[in-house]
Amino acid sequence: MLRQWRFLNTGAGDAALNMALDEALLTVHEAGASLPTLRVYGWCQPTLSLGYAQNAPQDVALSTCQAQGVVVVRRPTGGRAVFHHQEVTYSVVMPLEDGLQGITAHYYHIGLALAAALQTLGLPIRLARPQVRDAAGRTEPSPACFAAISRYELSVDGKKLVGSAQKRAQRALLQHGSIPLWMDRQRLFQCLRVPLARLPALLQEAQASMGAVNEMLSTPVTPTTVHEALRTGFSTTFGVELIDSAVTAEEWRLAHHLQAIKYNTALWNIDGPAAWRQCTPVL
Amino acid sequence: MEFPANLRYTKEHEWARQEGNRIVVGITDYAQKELGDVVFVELPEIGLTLAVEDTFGVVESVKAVSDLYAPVSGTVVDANMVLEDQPELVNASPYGQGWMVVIETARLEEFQQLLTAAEYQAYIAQEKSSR
Repeated sequence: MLRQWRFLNTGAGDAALNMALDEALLTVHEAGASLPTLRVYGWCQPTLSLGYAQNAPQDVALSTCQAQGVVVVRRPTGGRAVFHHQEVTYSVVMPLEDGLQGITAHYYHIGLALAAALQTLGLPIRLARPQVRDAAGRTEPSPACFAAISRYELSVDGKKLVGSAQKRAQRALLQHGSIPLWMDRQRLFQCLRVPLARLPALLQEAQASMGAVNEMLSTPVTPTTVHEALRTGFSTTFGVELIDSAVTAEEWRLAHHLQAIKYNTALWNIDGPAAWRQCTPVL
Repeated sequence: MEFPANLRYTKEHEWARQEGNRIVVGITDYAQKELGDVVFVELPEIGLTLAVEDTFGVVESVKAVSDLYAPVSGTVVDANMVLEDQPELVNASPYGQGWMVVIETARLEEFQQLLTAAEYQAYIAQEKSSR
C-alpha cells in the first residue's frame, strides 16, 4: 500500500497568514502530529517575500511597495526576495528521516517532483546541477531570488522557472517555492532598492534569466491545472498517495497566533529575526 | 574530513569541547560540507538559558535556514559575533575560528553522554548508507 501524504489547497491567502501557515504545518509535523503535506496556495495581494536573513531596509524600496500596494513579508526560509502575484506557490513539509539526508538530497528529490509536474504541462524542464564552490571568493548576490539559478532549481532554456527555499528543523523540513504563471519583472525591481541607472540592464537580464509558465506555453494554463500537475509529480516521484485534506484546527490556531505575533509585525518583516526575538516573549 | 578525537558530537552535526564547566560549541566539518557556503549565522544573546536540544541560533546556506541545537543545558556566556560579518569562517575553520557559542553548564554529565568521534563517524556512515 502506498504511503499517504496530505494535499492541501488553501487558495489565495493573506501574505502573513500564508507564511504563518507554512510554519505551523512544519511545527505540527515536527511534533509528530501530522502526515507529510503538499500544500498549494496563492496570494490575495501582490507580495514581496524576503529571505529569513535579508536586510529589508537595504534591499527593499519600502515606500514604493507601500505606494503600489505591495505587501512585504519575511519568510521563515532562506534565500532572497520573491515577488508573488500571478503564481502557484507550493510548500512541502516532510520528515528529515525519509530515506533522504541533507539539503542537497531534498532539493534534488523535490526538484524531481516539480520537474515531473511541469513536464506534464509540456515544459522541457531541466534541473540545475549543484554549484561548485568558487575558491576565488563569493560574488555579491542580487537581492532578487529569481535572478540566479541555484542547485536543483528548475529552468527552461536557461530561464529560472521555480525558486525554492528551505527551513530545516530537527526532525522535519519545510520547502516552499514560487511557480510564476506570469512575471511582472518591472514591478519586482521597482520594489527592490537597485540603482536607477542599473534598472534597464537588470530588466534586460531578468527578461533573459527569469521565466514564467504561461510565457512559455502556447496555451496558458490555470492554477488548477498546475495544482493537478503538482499532485501527479509528487505522487509519482515520492511513491505516495496524496489525500485531499483540510488544515486542522490545531494548525489554524497556531497559524493565526504566528500571523498575529510574527508575520504581521514590522519587527519581524522589516527589522528582522534578531529584533523580533528580542521583543517577543518565548512562544 | 576531520573528526578531532578531543571533541564530542551530536546527531545534529555539532561538536562540543569541554573547558572546565564551559562547553564550546560549533558545527562539524561534515555539517559545513553538507550545508555548502554558509552565508548567515544568527547567534543568541549572552545570558540566554538553554535546555538540551533547545534552538540557540540558525545558519543559512543555499537558501536553507537550519536550526542550531544546544548539546548541553546551561547559560550562554559567549557567542562568536565575528560570524555575523564573516559567516564563511564556519566553512573555512569549523573547529577553530568558526566556533559559535560557549555554554556554562552545571550538568557535565550531559557532555559525557554526547557521541565520541568514533561513534559520530559511525553515525555519519550509517546516514550515508541510507541514502
